[in-house]
Amino acid sequence: MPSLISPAERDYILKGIECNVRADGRQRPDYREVTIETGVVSQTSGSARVRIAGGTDVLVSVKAEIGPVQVDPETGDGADKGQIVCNVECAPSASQQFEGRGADDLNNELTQMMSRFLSHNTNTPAHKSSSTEAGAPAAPAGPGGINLSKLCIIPGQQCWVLFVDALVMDYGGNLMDAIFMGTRAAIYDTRIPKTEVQDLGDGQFEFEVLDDAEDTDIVEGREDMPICVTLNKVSDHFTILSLE
Amino acid sequence: MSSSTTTTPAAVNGLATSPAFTFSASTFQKLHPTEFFRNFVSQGVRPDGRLLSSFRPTTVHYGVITTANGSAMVRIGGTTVVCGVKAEVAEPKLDSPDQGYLVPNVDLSPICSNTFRPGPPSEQAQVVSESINRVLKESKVLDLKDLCIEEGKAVWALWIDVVCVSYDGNIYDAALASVMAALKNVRIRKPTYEEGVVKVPGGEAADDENSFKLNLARTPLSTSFVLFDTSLTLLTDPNFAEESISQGQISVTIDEQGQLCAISKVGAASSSQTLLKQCVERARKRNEELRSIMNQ
Amino acid sequence: MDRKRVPGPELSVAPLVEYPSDFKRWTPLDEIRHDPKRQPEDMRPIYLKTGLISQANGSAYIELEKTKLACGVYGPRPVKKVGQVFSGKGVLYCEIKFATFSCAKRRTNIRDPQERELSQILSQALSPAIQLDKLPKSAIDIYITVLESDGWGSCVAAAITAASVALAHAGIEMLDLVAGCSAAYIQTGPSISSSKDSIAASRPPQIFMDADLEEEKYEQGAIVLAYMPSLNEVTHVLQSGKAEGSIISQSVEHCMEACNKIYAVMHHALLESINDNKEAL
Repeated sequence: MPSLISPAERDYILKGIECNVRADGRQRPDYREVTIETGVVSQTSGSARVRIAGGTDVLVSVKAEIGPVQVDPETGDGADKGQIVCNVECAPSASQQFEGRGADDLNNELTQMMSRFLSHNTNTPAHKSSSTEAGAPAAPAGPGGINLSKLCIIPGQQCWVLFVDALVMDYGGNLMDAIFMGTRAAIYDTRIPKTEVQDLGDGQFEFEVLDDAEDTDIVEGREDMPICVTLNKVSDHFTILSLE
Repeated sequence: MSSSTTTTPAAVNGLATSPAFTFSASTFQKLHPTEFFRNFVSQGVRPDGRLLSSFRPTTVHYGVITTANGSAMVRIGGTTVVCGVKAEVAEPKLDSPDQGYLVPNVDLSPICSNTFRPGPPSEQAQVVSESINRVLKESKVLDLKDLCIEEGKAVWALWIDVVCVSYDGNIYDAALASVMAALKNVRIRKPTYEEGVVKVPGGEAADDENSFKLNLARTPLSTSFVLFDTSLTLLTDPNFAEESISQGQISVTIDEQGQLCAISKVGAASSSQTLLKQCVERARKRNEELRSIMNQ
Repeated sequence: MDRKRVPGPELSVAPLVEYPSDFKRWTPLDEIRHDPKRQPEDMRPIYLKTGLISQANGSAYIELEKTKLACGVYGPRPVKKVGQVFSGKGVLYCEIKFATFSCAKRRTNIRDPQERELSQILSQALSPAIQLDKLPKSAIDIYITVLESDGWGSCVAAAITAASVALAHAGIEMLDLVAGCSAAYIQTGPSISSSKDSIAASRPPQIFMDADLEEEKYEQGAIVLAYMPSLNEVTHVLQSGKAEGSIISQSVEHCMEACNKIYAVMHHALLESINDNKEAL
């Protein structure tokens, strides 16, 4: 991202956009070329690297770990759900403005944005299934598409926690789209080991993680995951639309 | 602010004939705050129209925050504080297995005055928090054993947080009054202890059946004064401007039986015994007045 | 460990709440709102007052029933932060703080990611309305303390509304007041408990304006809109959860309508503050 644009340059860009020609030769509604690579980090459960021609480069990795379920003490909600924990970090080398603590605000904003779309729990407990009322159906998938109930191992005790980490390695505009594409691709790539639960009676459970690299689960609901397209309104303000 | 006072600096300096410049009262106040005050105090009044010994209008509202177990809002003139008490379950200390916790903290956030900066509590906030903590502990306002749920296992921790919304001096009086009012307002659901889990009944509104109130042994309330000028004139219930030009500050904390709970004096000015006696006397009067406001 | 506060126990938790078996919690099945007096399009009554904070340049206090927050504006004043370079434009700094007792669960004193994000949302929503290029070398600081929160969306919306009134009260030049409004999409009626296929899917969710906390627990999605009524321009949209495009555009329209009503309240509060000033003189 160029840090300074001279008035002449600015004028050139604006006039160009008016004539439907952008500085890099694209028309107004054209997208830049996107390259997606999956399975780039071998130590993760799933990973993807997204590059948008012109500079933006984002690496997203998913790591599945076992953790305790989080239950809302007031409503008892969440006992049968896995969790998704998001984090976005901009590497200081990606842009001059990220040096030092310069990226803190952006990191936080993007992290919150991602958490809101994937687990919807930044503000309220995850999407409420009508579990207490009349023979509840399978809980509808959360807003991020991913079926969190399928990530639960033992209700009320253990579940899978998916850590989704996005690392911005180069910043050439349109971060949000790249992160969403990367997340979707990385989740698609994710394999979760199968588990076997044994009922020991007395409400005691034990489970075993099967160590078979061939026989693994996919993340259910991955085809419903959102992607995002950012539109900039050139003049003084912009709108961001996210489409599912 | 009375706008009728237009003072010429010439008059102050004793040079009667120099109409060259005059400026408004508010400019004079900014340039010579102490001199400005001295002119008023010598007449026995203060710039806001109060007598030296009078207080600003005070109001107390109970139960303003429904998410807290107990709450109160106290306004003394331009100072507004809100206190909320939250009861949570904690493990007791090893050396006092049947005692709960009282944790008072005052937050002077940048919203209430431009002298405060964002970040950790300022020195002033720490002093006020600690003073309130000492009054609560050493005057034994509440028997901490009342907060026991299961000896050695679980007790109530009462987080008493005071948020200053608007700061115009005399934060200690306002904060202590709001803490006492909020503690009076506290209702905690009757807990049951079972295998390491504390449960409280939900649903119905809190009443005497399913909840309990705190049994306060005493309610200390304080009255603060500042010492103004070398004459050490006592100004009761100082506002922000008065605090910033004062030589020292005296706070007297008294409970409902008229027993002294705490006296503190800070600042360089020395004070005589008679002065302290005067403070205590005025504090007693103020105490009764404040108590009647709180009991309304 | 925090040495600057009176220390409490290291770990404390809220007790488990045990509801009696016959306790009936509000659900969208009831087909009415949590507050039965409200229609889906009704907001909660707004109480808005300026000039609560005596030391601030401008201030406002807003109350939507249980949602209560205070806002103080300091500035324009010289930039004080160390290391800040010269800026030809004014700097807008927003900070939202939730009081520890403001939510059902006690909050800590440490600034959490949610507060930081809300602060950013607020500054994004307000900065289009302020003519910052007319205020070089200066900073405007907006501080908000949430005393009680009853719904996340309504809290953000109220913060936007209160902050822009406080800015106006501070005499800072703006293009227009910014009104904030929130709505939640909630599937009502019995379809939620019957099988989730065709009927449930075809039934559009209801748009509940200014949803409270109890309603938010059931939301499929929510929207917070910041809007400048007399310029007819939107400064910020925050949409979360999922809903069909038509529902979203419908809710944007509803929110804009509601913002016009809020605008009237804001006007009234500001006029009142002028009248108060006149009386004081």
